[in-house]
Amino acid sequence: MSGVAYLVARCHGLRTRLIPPSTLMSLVKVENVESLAEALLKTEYGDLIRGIPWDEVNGSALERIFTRKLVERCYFLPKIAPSSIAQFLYAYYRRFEIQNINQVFRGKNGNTPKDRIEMDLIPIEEYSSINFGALLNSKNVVGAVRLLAETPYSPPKIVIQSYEDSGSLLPLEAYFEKAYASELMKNLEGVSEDVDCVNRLLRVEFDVGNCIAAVGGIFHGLDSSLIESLIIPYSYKVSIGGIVRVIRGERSSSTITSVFGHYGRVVDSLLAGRETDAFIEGLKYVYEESERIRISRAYSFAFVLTYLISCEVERRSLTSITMGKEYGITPEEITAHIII
Amino acid sequence: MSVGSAGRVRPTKGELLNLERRLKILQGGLEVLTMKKDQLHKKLQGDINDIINRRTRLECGLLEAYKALISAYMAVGSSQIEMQATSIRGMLRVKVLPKSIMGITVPKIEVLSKPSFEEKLGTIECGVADKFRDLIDDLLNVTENEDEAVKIAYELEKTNRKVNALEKITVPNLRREIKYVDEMLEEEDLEEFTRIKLLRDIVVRRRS
Repeated sequence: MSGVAYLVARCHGLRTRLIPPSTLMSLVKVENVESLAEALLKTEYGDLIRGIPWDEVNGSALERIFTRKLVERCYFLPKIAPSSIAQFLYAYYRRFEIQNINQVFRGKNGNTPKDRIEMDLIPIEEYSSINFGALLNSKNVVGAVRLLAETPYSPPKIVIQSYEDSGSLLPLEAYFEKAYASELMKNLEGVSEDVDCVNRLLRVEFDVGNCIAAVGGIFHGLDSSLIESLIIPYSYKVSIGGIVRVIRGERSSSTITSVFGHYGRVVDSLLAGRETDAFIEGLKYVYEESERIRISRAYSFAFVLTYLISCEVERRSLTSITMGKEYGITPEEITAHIII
Repeated sequence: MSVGSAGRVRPTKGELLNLERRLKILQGGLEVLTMKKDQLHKKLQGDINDIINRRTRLECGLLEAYKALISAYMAVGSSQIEMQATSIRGMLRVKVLPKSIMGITVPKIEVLSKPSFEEKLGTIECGVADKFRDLIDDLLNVTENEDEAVKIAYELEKTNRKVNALEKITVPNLRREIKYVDEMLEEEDLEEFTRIKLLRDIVVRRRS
Protein backbone atom coordinates (compact mmCIF):
# COMPACT_ATOMS: atom_id res chain seq x y z
CA MET A 1 0.00 0.00 0.00
CA SER A 2 1.46 3.36 -1.05
CA GLY A 3 1.76 6.21 1.43
CA VAL A 4 -1.10 8.15 -0.12
CA ALA A 5 -3.38 5.08 -0.22
CA TYR A 6 -2.64 4.45 3.47
CA LEU A 7 -3.45 8.10 4.27
CA VAL A 8 -6.73 7.92 2.31
CA ALA A 9 -7.67 4.64 4.01
CA ARG A 10 -7.00 6.18 7.43
CA CYS A 11 -9.08 9.22 6.49
CA HIS A 12 -11.99 6.93 5.63
CA GLY A 13 -11.65 5.46 9.10
CA LEU A 14 -11.27 8.85 10.77
CA ARG A 15 -14.30 10.16 8.92
CA THR A 16 -16.50 7.69 10.77
CA ARG A 17 -15.55 9.47 14.00
CA LEU A 18 -17.12 12.73 12.81
CA ILE A 19 -20.52 13.55 14.22
CA PRO A 20 -23.16 12.35 11.74
CA PRO A 21 -25.76 14.89 10.50
CA SER A 22 -28.59 13.12 12.37
CA THR A 23 -26.70 13.51 15.67
CA LEU A 24 -25.97 17.16 14.88
CA MET A 25 -29.68 17.73 14.31
CA SER A 26 -30.48 16.11 17.64
CA LEU A 27 -27.89 18.35 19.33
CA VAL A 28 -29.74 21.36 17.92
CA LYS A 29 -32.75 20.35 19.99
CA VAL A 30 -31.01 20.07 23.39
CA GLU A 31 -32.12 22.48 26.07
CA ASN A 32 -28.99 24.43 26.93
CA VAL A 33 -25.18 24.52 26.82
CA GLU A 34 -24.87 22.10 29.76
CA SER A 35 -27.11 19.53 28.06
CA LEU A 36 -25.10 20.01 24.87
CA ALA A 37 -21.85 19.35 26.73
CA GLU A 38 -23.44 16.29 28.31
CA ALA A 39 -24.55 14.98 24.91
CA LEU A 40 -21.06 15.58 23.52
CA LEU A 41 -19.51 13.41 26.25
CA LYS A 42 -20.41 10.37 24.15
CA THR A 43 -18.49 11.73 21.14
CA GLU A 44 -14.79 12.28 20.42
CA TYR A 45 -15.05 15.58 22.31
CA GLY A 46 -15.90 13.72 25.51
CA ASP A 47 -12.34 13.44 26.84
CA LEU A 48 -11.66 17.13 26.36
CA ILE A 49 -14.96 18.15 27.93
CA ARG A 50 -14.31 15.91 30.94
CA GLY A 51 -11.02 17.77 31.37
CA ILE A 52 -12.71 21.00 32.40
CA PRO A 53 -14.61 21.54 35.67
CA TRP A 54 -18.34 21.18 35.08
CA ASP A 55 -19.12 24.65 36.45
CA GLU A 56 -16.75 26.15 33.89
CA VAL A 57 -18.57 24.63 30.95
CA ASN A 58 -19.88 27.48 28.83
CA GLY A 59 -20.01 28.57 25.20
CA SER A 60 -16.45 29.91 25.03
CA ALA A 61 -14.97 26.87 26.76
CA LEU A 62 -16.74 24.51 24.36
CA GLU A 63 -15.67 26.65 21.41
CA ARG A 64 -12.04 26.26 22.51
CA ILE A 65 -12.51 22.49 22.83
CA PHE A 66 -13.92 22.24 19.30
CA THR A 67 -10.93 24.15 18.00
CA ARG A 68 -8.51 21.95 19.94
CA LYS A 69 -10.11 18.83 18.51
CA LEU A 70 -9.90 20.27 15.01
CA VAL A 71 -6.19 20.96 15.49
CA GLU A 72 -5.63 17.42 16.84
CA ARG A 73 -7.41 15.90 13.86
CA CYS A 74 -5.60 18.09 11.34
CA TYR A 75 -2.08 17.68 12.68
CA PHE A 76 -2.45 13.92 12.99
CA LEU A 77 -2.55 13.51 9.21
CA PRO A 78 0.96 14.81 8.33
CA LYS A 79 2.35 12.21 10.75
CA ILE A 80 1.05 9.38 8.58
CA ALA A 81 1.42 11.12 5.20
CA PRO A 82 4.27 10.90 2.67
CA SER A 83 6.59 13.90 2.94
CA SER A 84 5.36 15.81 -0.16
CA ILE A 85 1.75 15.46 1.01
CA ALA A 86 2.72 16.34 4.59
CA GLN A 87 4.39 19.50 3.30
CA PHE A 88 1.22 20.44 1.45
CA LEU A 89 -0.88 19.73 4.52
CA TYR A 90 1.35 21.91 6.68
CA ALA A 91 0.96 24.67 4.09
CA TYR A 92 -2.83 24.15 4.26
CA TYR A 93 -2.76 24.41 8.06
CA ARG A 94 -1.05 27.77 7.87
CA ARG A 95 -4.60 29.11 7.82
CA PHE A 96 -4.53 28.54 11.59
CA GLU A 97 -1.31 30.53 11.86
CA ILE A 98 -2.93 33.35 9.90
CA GLN A 99 -5.94 33.31 12.18
CA ASN A 100 -3.69 33.46 15.22
CA ILE A 101 -1.54 36.25 13.81
CA ASN A 102 -4.68 38.23 12.97
CA GLN A 103 -6.02 37.58 16.43
CA VAL A 104 -2.79 38.82 18.07
CA PHE A 105 -2.70 41.89 15.83
CA ARG A 106 -6.34 42.71 16.55
CA GLY A 107 -5.63 42.32 20.24
CA LYS A 108 -2.53 44.51 20.11
CA ASN A 109 -4.39 47.09 18.07
CA GLY A 110 -7.13 47.21 20.65
CA ASN A 111 -4.76 47.13 23.66
CA THR A 112 -6.31 43.86 24.81
CA PRO A 113 -4.49 42.20 27.74
CA LYS A 114 -2.06 39.48 26.71
CA ASP A 115 -3.91 36.75 28.64
CA ARG A 116 -7.17 37.57 26.94
CA ILE A 117 -5.59 37.34 23.47
CA GLU A 118 -3.78 34.13 24.37
CA MET A 119 -7.00 32.50 25.52
CA ASP A 120 -8.51 32.70 22.04
CA LEU A 121 -5.48 31.54 20.07
CA ILE A 122 -5.67 28.25 18.21
CA PRO A 123 -3.35 25.86 20.09
CA ILE A 124 -0.76 25.23 17.36
CA GLU A 125 2.45 26.33 19.14
CA GLU A 126 4.03 22.88 18.83
CA TYR A 127 3.39 22.75 15.08
CA SER A 128 4.11 26.35 14.13
CA SER A 129 7.35 28.12 13.39
CA ILE A 130 5.84 31.40 14.52
CA ASN A 131 6.79 32.43 18.03
CA PHE A 132 3.38 33.44 19.31
CA GLY A 133 4.74 34.01 22.80
CA ALA A 134 7.04 36.72 21.46
CA LEU A 135 4.22 38.18 19.36
CA LEU A 136 2.02 38.36 22.44
CA ASN A 137 4.78 40.14 24.36
CA SER A 138 5.36 42.73 21.65
CA LYS A 139 4.48 46.29 22.55
CA ASN A 140 2.20 47.02 19.65
CA VAL A 141 1.28 45.97 16.11
CA VAL A 142 4.42 47.45 14.54
CA GLY A 143 6.54 45.62 17.11
CA ALA A 144 4.70 42.39 16.30
CA VAL A 145 5.19 42.96 12.56
CA ARG A 146 8.95 43.27 13.15
CA LEU A 147 8.92 39.82 14.80
CA LEU A 148 7.51 38.34 11.60
CA ALA A 149 10.60 39.45 9.67
CA GLU A 150 12.06 35.99 9.14
CA THR A 151 8.75 34.28 8.39
CA PRO A 152 6.74 33.92 5.15
CA TYR A 153 4.39 36.55 6.53
CA SER A 154 6.81 39.47 6.70
CA PRO A 155 4.84 42.30 5.08
CA PRO A 156 6.50 44.85 2.79
CA LYS A 157 7.02 48.41 4.02
CA ILE A 158 4.14 49.76 1.95
CA VAL A 159 1.66 47.51 3.78
CA ILE A 160 3.04 48.53 7.18
CA GLN A 161 2.89 52.16 6.11
CA SER A 162 -0.71 51.67 5.05
CA TYR A 163 -1.51 50.32 8.53
CA GLU A 164 0.31 53.20 10.21
CA ASP A 165 -1.53 55.76 8.10
CA SER A 166 -5.03 54.38 8.50
CA GLY A 167 -4.85 52.40 11.74
CA SER A 168 -6.68 49.67 9.84
CA LEU A 169 -5.45 46.10 10.05
CA LEU A 170 -7.21 45.10 6.83
CA PRO A 171 -4.17 45.70 4.56
CA LEU A 172 -1.99 43.56 6.85
CA GLU A 173 -4.63 40.81 7.05
CA ALA A 174 -5.05 40.89 3.29
CA TYR A 175 -1.31 40.54 2.88
CA PHE A 176 -1.20 37.50 5.20
CA GLU A 177 -4.11 35.87 3.34
CA LYS A 178 -2.33 36.40 0.02
CA ALA A 179 0.94 35.07 1.40
CA TYR A 180 -0.94 32.02 2.66
CA ALA A 181 -2.67 31.47 -0.68
CA SER A 182 0.51 31.75 -2.74
CA GLU A 183 2.43 29.47 -0.37
CA LEU A 184 -0.38 26.92 -0.52
CA MET A 185 -0.59 26.98 -4.31
CA LYS A 186 3.18 26.65 -4.51
CA ASN A 187 3.06 23.58 -2.28
CA LEU A 188 0.25 22.10 -4.36
CA GLU A 189 2.77 21.75 -7.19
CA GLY A 190 4.55 19.15 -5.08
CA VAL A 191 1.42 17.01 -4.87
CA SER A 192 1.40 14.48 -7.67
CA GLU A 193 -2.11 13.11 -7.22
CA ASP A 194 -5.47 14.70 -7.79
CA VAL A 195 -4.03 18.15 -8.33
CA ASP A 196 -7.05 19.21 -10.41
CA CYS A 197 -9.62 18.35 -7.75
CA VAL A 198 -7.59 19.80 -4.88
CA ASN A 199 -6.86 22.90 -6.92
CA ARG A 200 -10.58 23.30 -7.68
CA LEU A 201 -11.57 22.93 -4.06
CA LEU A 202 -9.00 25.46 -2.86
CA ARG A 203 -9.95 27.92 -5.56
CA VAL A 204 -13.67 27.70 -4.76
CA GLU A 205 -12.74 28.82 -1.26
CA PHE A 206 -10.71 31.73 -2.68
CA ASP A 207 -13.63 32.60 -4.99
CA VAL A 208 -16.03 32.81 -2.07
CA GLY A 209 -13.56 34.90 -0.06
CA ASN A 210 -13.07 37.26 -3.01
CA CYS A 211 -16.81 37.51 -3.54
CA ILE A 212 -17.42 38.51 0.08
CA ALA A 213 -14.46 40.92 0.11
CA ALA A 214 -15.46 42.64 -3.15
CA VAL A 215 -19.25 42.86 -2.88
CA GLY A 216 -19.19 43.32 0.91
CA GLY A 217 -16.51 45.99 0.58
CA ILE A 218 -18.49 47.87 -2.06
CA PHE A 219 -21.69 47.56 -0.02
CA HIS A 220 -19.95 49.04 3.05
CA GLY A 221 -18.34 51.82 1.04
CA LEU A 222 -14.71 50.78 1.40
CA ASP A 223 -12.13 52.55 -0.70
CA SER A 224 -11.74 50.73 -4.04
CA SER A 225 -7.95 50.45 -3.70
CA LEU A 226 -8.42 48.82 -0.29
CA ILE A 227 -10.98 46.37 -1.70
CA GLU A 228 -8.59 45.54 -4.53
CA SER A 229 -5.85 44.82 -2.00
CA LEU A 230 -8.17 42.31 -0.28
CA ILE A 231 -8.57 40.21 -3.41
CA ILE A 232 -6.61 36.94 -3.44
CA PRO A 233 -5.12 36.48 -6.92
CA TYR A 234 -6.37 32.90 -7.38
CA SER A 235 -9.77 31.99 -8.67
CA TYR A 236 -11.87 29.24 -10.14
CA LYS A 237 -15.21 30.45 -11.49
CA VAL A 238 -14.85 34.19 -10.83
CA SER A 239 -12.35 36.02 -12.99
CA ILE A 240 -10.02 38.34 -11.14
CA GLY A 241 -10.27 40.81 -14.03
CA GLY A 242 -14.06 40.82 -13.62
CA ILE A 243 -13.78 41.46 -9.88
CA VAL A 244 -11.40 44.34 -10.49
CA ARG A 245 -13.80 45.81 -13.09
CA VAL A 246 -16.65 45.69 -10.58
CA ILE A 247 -14.52 47.21 -7.84
CA ARG A 248 -13.40 50.02 -10.13
CA GLY A 249 -16.95 51.07 -10.88
CA GLU A 250 -18.68 48.77 -13.38
CA ARG A 251 -21.50 47.95 -11.00
CA SER A 252 -24.49 47.33 -13.22
CA SER A 253 -26.52 44.32 -12.14
CA SER A 254 -25.63 42.52 -15.40
CA THR A 255 -21.89 42.94 -14.73
CA ILE A 256 -22.24 41.77 -11.12
CA THR A 257 -24.32 38.78 -12.25
CA SER A 258 -21.88 37.85 -14.98
CA VAL A 259 -18.88 38.14 -12.65
CA PHE A 260 -20.31 36.60 -9.48
CA GLY A 261 -23.18 34.59 -11.01
CA HIS A 262 -21.76 31.27 -9.83
CA TYR A 263 -22.05 32.42 -6.23
CA GLY A 264 -25.45 34.07 -6.52
CA ARG A 265 -26.62 33.15 -3.02
CA VAL A 266 -23.58 34.85 -1.48
CA VAL A 267 -24.03 38.02 -3.55
CA ASP A 268 -27.79 38.19 -2.91
CA SER A 269 -27.27 37.92 0.85
CA LEU A 270 -24.54 40.57 0.78
CA LEU A 271 -26.67 42.99 -1.22
CA ALA A 272 -29.54 42.43 1.21
CA GLY A 273 -27.24 43.43 4.11
CA ARG A 274 -27.19 39.89 5.52
CA GLU A 275 -23.43 39.42 5.78
CA THR A 276 -23.60 36.40 8.09
CA ASP A 277 -25.93 34.59 5.70
CA ALA A 278 -23.49 35.39 2.90
CA PHE A 279 -20.68 33.82 4.91
CA ILE A 280 -22.74 30.68 5.58
CA GLU A 281 -23.79 30.45 1.93
CA GLY A 282 -20.14 30.77 0.95
CA LEU A 283 -19.23 27.88 3.23
CA LYS A 284 -22.07 25.88 1.70
CA TYR A 285 -20.58 26.37 -1.80
CA VAL A 286 -17.23 25.08 -0.53
CA TYR A 287 -18.90 22.18 1.26
CA GLU A 288 -21.00 21.26 -1.78
CA GLU A 289 -17.89 21.16 -3.96
CA SER A 290 -16.11 19.15 -1.29
CA GLU A 291 -18.98 16.64 -1.15
CA ARG A 292 -19.01 16.28 -4.94
CA ILE A 293 -15.28 15.53 -4.87
CA ARG A 294 -15.64 13.22 -1.86
CA ILE A 295 -18.15 11.07 -3.72
CA SER A 296 -16.38 11.08 -7.09
CA ARG A 297 -12.81 10.74 -5.77
CA ALA A 298 -13.35 8.59 -2.70
CA TYR A 299 -10.07 6.69 -3.05
CA SER A 300 -7.64 9.42 -3.98
CA PHE A 301 -5.78 12.22 -2.21
CA ALA A 302 -8.64 14.71 -2.74
CA PHE A 303 -10.61 12.69 -0.19
CA VAL A 304 -8.13 13.78 2.48
CA LEU A 305 -8.88 17.42 1.80
CA THR A 306 -12.63 16.77 1.88
CA TYR A 307 -12.12 15.10 5.27
CA LEU A 308 -10.32 18.22 6.53
CA ILE A 309 -13.12 20.42 5.23
CA SER A 310 -15.67 18.20 6.97
CA CYS A 311 -13.70 18.54 10.22
CA GLU A 312 -13.75 22.31 9.88
CA VAL A 313 -17.45 22.34 9.01
CA GLU A 314 -18.17 20.17 12.05
CA ARG A 315 -16.35 22.64 14.28
CA ARG A 316 -18.33 25.53 12.81
CA SER A 317 -21.63 23.67 13.19
CA LEU A 318 -20.90 22.80 16.81
CA THR A 319 -19.87 26.40 17.48
CA SER A 320 -23.15 27.58 15.94
CA ILE A 321 -25.15 25.18 18.11
CA THR A 322 -23.22 26.21 21.23
CA MET A 323 -23.62 29.93 20.61
CA GLY A 324 -27.25 29.40 19.67
CA LYS A 325 -27.89 27.59 22.95
CA GLU A 326 -25.96 30.18 24.92
CA TYR A 327 -28.15 32.98 23.54
CA GLY A 328 -31.43 31.06 23.59
CA ILE A 329 -31.91 30.85 19.82
CA THR A 330 -34.66 28.61 18.47
CA PRO A 331 -33.66 25.24 16.94
CA GLU A 332 -34.98 26.40 13.53
CA GLU A 333 -32.69 29.42 13.54
CA ILE A 334 -29.72 27.34 14.66
CA THR A 335 -30.40 24.83 11.89
CA ALA A 336 -30.13 27.66 9.36
CA HIS A 337 -26.52 28.17 10.51
CA ILE A 338 -25.54 24.52 10.19
CA ILE A 339 -23.93 23.11 7.11
CA ILE A 340 -24.88 19.49 6.52
CA MET B 1 -57.38 79.64 55.17
CA SER B 2 -60.54 78.44 56.91
CA VAL B 3 -63.63 80.28 58.01
CA GLY B 4 -62.19 80.24 61.50
CA SER B 5 -59.09 81.97 60.36
CA ALA B 6 -61.28 84.50 58.61
CA GLY B 7 -62.14 85.62 62.11
CA ARG B 8 -58.54 86.65 62.62
CA VAL B 9 -58.64 89.02 59.69
CA ARG B 10 -58.86 92.59 60.78
CA PRO B 11 -62.15 93.88 59.45
CA THR B 12 -60.86 97.21 58.22
CA LYS B 13 -61.29 99.07 55.00
CA GLY B 14 -57.53 98.82 54.35
CA GLU B 15 -57.61 95.06 54.83
CA LEU B 16 -60.57 94.77 52.44
CA LEU B 17 -58.67 96.67 49.80
CA ASN B 18 -55.64 94.50 50.44
CA LEU B 19 -57.68 91.30 50.16
CA GLU B 20 -59.33 92.47 46.95
CA ARG B 21 -55.93 93.29 45.45
CA ARG B 22 -54.67 89.80 46.43
CA LEU B 23 -57.73 88.14 44.87
CA LYS B 24 -57.14 89.99 41.61
CA ILE B 25 -53.50 88.86 41.52
CA LEU B 26 -54.43 85.28 42.35
CA GLN B 27 -57.08 85.20 39.66
CA GLY B 28 -54.53 86.43 37.11
CA GLY B 29 -52.07 83.78 38.31
CA LEU B 30 -54.72 81.11 38.12
CA GLU B 31 -55.51 82.09 34.56
CA VAL B 32 -51.80 81.89 33.60
CA LEU B 33 -51.34 78.57 35.40
CA THR B 34 -54.40 77.10 33.72
CA MET B 35 -53.00 78.15 30.36
CA LYS B 36 -49.63 76.60 31.29
CA LYS B 37 -51.36 73.41 32.40
CA ASP B 38 -53.19 73.14 29.08
CA GLN B 39 -50.00 73.77 27.11
CA LEU B 40 -48.02 71.22 29.16
CA HIS B 41 -50.78 68.69 28.72
CA LYS B 42 -50.79 69.23 24.97
CA LYS B 43 -46.97 68.98 24.80
CA LEU B 44 -46.90 65.84 26.95
CA GLN B 45 -49.55 64.17 24.81
CA GLY B 46 -47.51 64.94 21.67
CA ASP B 47 -44.30 63.74 23.33
CA ILE B 48 -45.89 60.46 24.45
CA ASN B 49 -47.11 59.70 20.94
CA ASP B 50 -43.66 60.56 19.58
CA ILE B 51 -41.95 58.36 22.20
CA ILE B 52 -44.23 55.41 21.42
CA ASN B 53 -43.39 55.65 17.70
CA ARG B 54 -39.66 56.18 18.22
CA ARG B 55 -39.41 53.48 20.87
CA THR B 56 -41.18 50.94 18.68
CA ARG B 57 -38.81 51.77 15.82
CA LEU B 58 -35.79 51.60 18.14
CA GLU B 59 -36.84 48.28 19.65
CA CYS B 60 -37.34 46.78 16.18
CA GLY B 61 -33.90 48.06 15.16
CA LEU B 62 -32.27 46.74 18.34
CA LEU B 63 -33.93 43.38 17.90
CA GLU B 64 -32.59 43.17 14.37
CA ALA B 65 -29.11 44.31 15.41
CA TYR B 66 -28.89 41.82 18.29
CA LYS B 67 -30.15 39.08 16.00
CA ALA B 68 -27.40 39.95 13.55
CA LEU B 69 -24.82 39.94 16.37
CA ILE B 70 -25.90 36.53 17.66
CA SER B 71 -25.99 35.22 14.12
CA ALA B 72 -22.42 36.45 13.65
CA TYR B 73 -21.40 34.79 16.94
CA MET B 74 -22.93 31.57 15.66
CA ALA B 75 -21.24 31.81 12.27
CA VAL B 76 -17.68 32.74 13.22
CA GLY B 77 -17.53 32.19 16.97
CA SER B 78 -17.31 34.58 19.87
CA SER B 79 -13.53 34.99 19.95
CA GLN B 80 -13.28 36.42 16.44
CA ILE B 81 -16.16 38.83 16.93
CA GLU B 82 -14.82 40.02 20.27
CA MET B 83 -11.29 40.49 18.98
CA GLN B 84 -12.50 42.36 15.89
CA ALA B 85 -14.58 44.58 18.14
CA THR B 86 -11.41 45.81 19.83
CA SER B 87 -10.49 47.52 16.54
CA ILE B 88 -13.38 49.90 16.88
CA ARG B 89 -11.87 53.27 17.63
CA GLY B 90 -13.33 56.06 19.69
CA MET B 91 -16.25 56.08 22.02
CA LEU B 92 -19.65 57.58 21.67
CA ARG B 93 -19.17 61.07 23.10
CA VAL B 94 -22.11 63.31 23.79
CA LYS B 95 -22.69 66.72 25.30
CA VAL B 96 -25.85 67.30 27.29
CA LEU B 97 -27.08 70.87 26.95
CA PRO B 98 -29.99 72.44 28.85
CA LYS B 99 -33.04 73.43 26.82
CA SER B 100 -35.98 75.38 28.22
CA ILE B 101 -39.57 74.45 27.45
CA MET B 102 -42.04 76.78 29.24
CA GLY B 103 -39.47 77.31 31.97
CA ILE B 104 -38.71 73.61 32.39
CA THR B 105 -35.09 72.63 31.83
CA VAL B 106 -34.89 69.52 29.67
CA PRO B 107 -31.75 67.89 28.25
CA LYS B 108 -30.68 68.32 24.65
CA ILE B 109 -28.12 65.69 23.63
CA GLU B 110 -25.51 66.69 21.09
CA VAL B 111 -23.35 63.95 19.57
CA LEU B 112 -19.70 64.97 19.56
CA SER B 113 -18.28 61.77 18.09
CA LYS B 114 -19.39 58.28 17.19
CA PRO B 115 -17.30 55.10 17.28
CA SER B 116 -15.39 54.72 14.06
CA PHE B 117 -14.76 51.41 12.33
CA GLU B 118 -14.60 52.38 8.68
CA GLU B 119 -12.15 50.15 6.83
CA LYS B 120 -11.20 48.41 10.08
CA LEU B 121 -13.53 45.44 10.35
CA GLY B 122 -14.24 42.35 8.32
CA THR B 123 -17.42 42.14 6.26
CA ILE B 124 -19.53 40.28 8.85
CA GLU B 125 -18.40 42.42 11.76
CA CYS B 126 -18.84 45.61 9.73
CA GLY B 127 -22.42 44.62 8.90
CA VAL B 128 -23.24 44.07 12.56
CA ALA B 129 -21.45 47.23 13.74
CA ASP B 130 -23.27 49.27 11.08
CA LYS B 131 -26.62 48.05 12.38
CA PHE B 132 -25.76 49.16 15.91
CA ARG B 133 -24.29 52.50 14.87
CA ASP B 134 -27.40 53.36 12.87
CA LEU B 135 -29.37 53.09 16.10
CA ILE B 136 -27.28 55.56 18.12
CA ASP B 137 -29.27 58.61 16.95
CA ASP B 138 -32.60 56.88 17.57
CA LEU B 139 -31.44 55.75 21.00
CA LEU B 140 -30.36 59.28 21.99
CA ASN B 141 -33.59 60.77 20.63
CA VAL B 142 -35.68 58.37 22.68
CA THR B 143 -33.56 59.12 25.78
CA GLU B 144 -33.98 62.85 25.20
CA ASN B 145 -37.73 62.57 24.62
CA GLU B 146 -38.33 60.29 27.57
CA ASP B 147 -36.46 62.56 29.95
CA GLU B 148 -38.30 65.56 28.53
CA ALA B 149 -41.63 63.78 29.00
CA VAL B 150 -40.79 62.85 32.60
CA LYS B 151 -39.83 66.45 33.41
CA ILE B 152 -42.93 67.83 31.70
CA ALA B 153 -45.14 65.32 33.47
CA TYR B 154 -43.60 66.31 36.82
CA GLU B 155 -44.12 69.98 36.04
CA LEU B 156 -47.68 69.26 34.91
CA GLU B 157 -48.34 67.49 38.20
CA LYS B 158 -46.95 70.48 40.10
CA THR B 159 -48.96 72.96 38.03
CA ASN B 160 -52.10 70.87 38.48
CA ARG B 161 -51.63 70.90 42.22
CA LYS B 162 -51.16 74.68 42.19
CA VAL B 163 -54.23 75.25 39.99
CA ASN B 164 -56.34 72.96 42.18
CA ALA B 165 -55.11 74.64 45.34
CA LEU B 166 -55.90 78.07 43.94
CA GLU B 167 -59.25 77.06 42.46
CA LYS B 168 -60.53 74.97 45.33
CA ILE B 169 -58.92 76.48 48.44
CA THR B 170 -57.06 79.77 48.18
CA VAL B 171 -59.46 81.76 46.00
CA PRO B 172 -62.67 80.56 47.77
CA ASN B 173 -61.08 81.29 51.16
CA LEU B 174 -60.05 84.72 50.03
CA ARG B 175 -63.54 85.34 48.73
CA ARG B 176 -64.94 84.24 52.08
CA GLU B 177 -62.56 86.58 53.90
CA ILE B 178 -63.54 89.47 51.65
CA LYS B 179 -67.22 88.68 52.29
CA TYR B 180 -66.53 88.48 56.02
CA VAL B 181 -64.65 91.80 56.11
CA ASP B 182 -67.29 93.38 53.89
CA GLU B 183 -70.07 92.18 56.21
CA MET B 184 -68.16 93.30 59.29
CA LEU B 185 -67.61 96.73 57.78
CA GLU B 186 -71.29 96.94 56.88
CA GLU B 187 -72.20 95.99 60.47
CA GLU B 188 -69.80 98.61 61.83
CA ASP B 189 -71.34 101.19 59.49
CA LEU B 190 -74.78 100.23 60.73
CA GLU B 191 -73.65 100.42 64.37
CA GLU B 192 -72.09 103.79 63.71
CA PHE B 193 -75.24 104.99 62.02
CA THR B 194 -77.42 103.78 64.91
CA ARG B 195 -75.01 105.30 67.46
CA ILE B 196 -75.13 108.67 65.68
CA LYS B 197 -78.90 108.48 65.47
CA LEU B 198 -79.16 107.76 69.23
CA LEU B 199 -76.73 110.58 70.04
CA ARG B 200 -78.70 112.95 67.82
CA ASP B 201 -81.92 111.96 69.65
CA ILE B 202 -80.24 112.60 73.06
CA VAL B 203 -78.94 115.98 71.91
CA VAL B 204 -82.39 116.94 70.50
CA ARG B 205 -84.11 115.86 73.76
CA ARG B 206 -81.68 117.95 75.90
CA ARG B 207 -82.17 121.02 73.76
CA SER B 208 -85.91 120.71 73.94
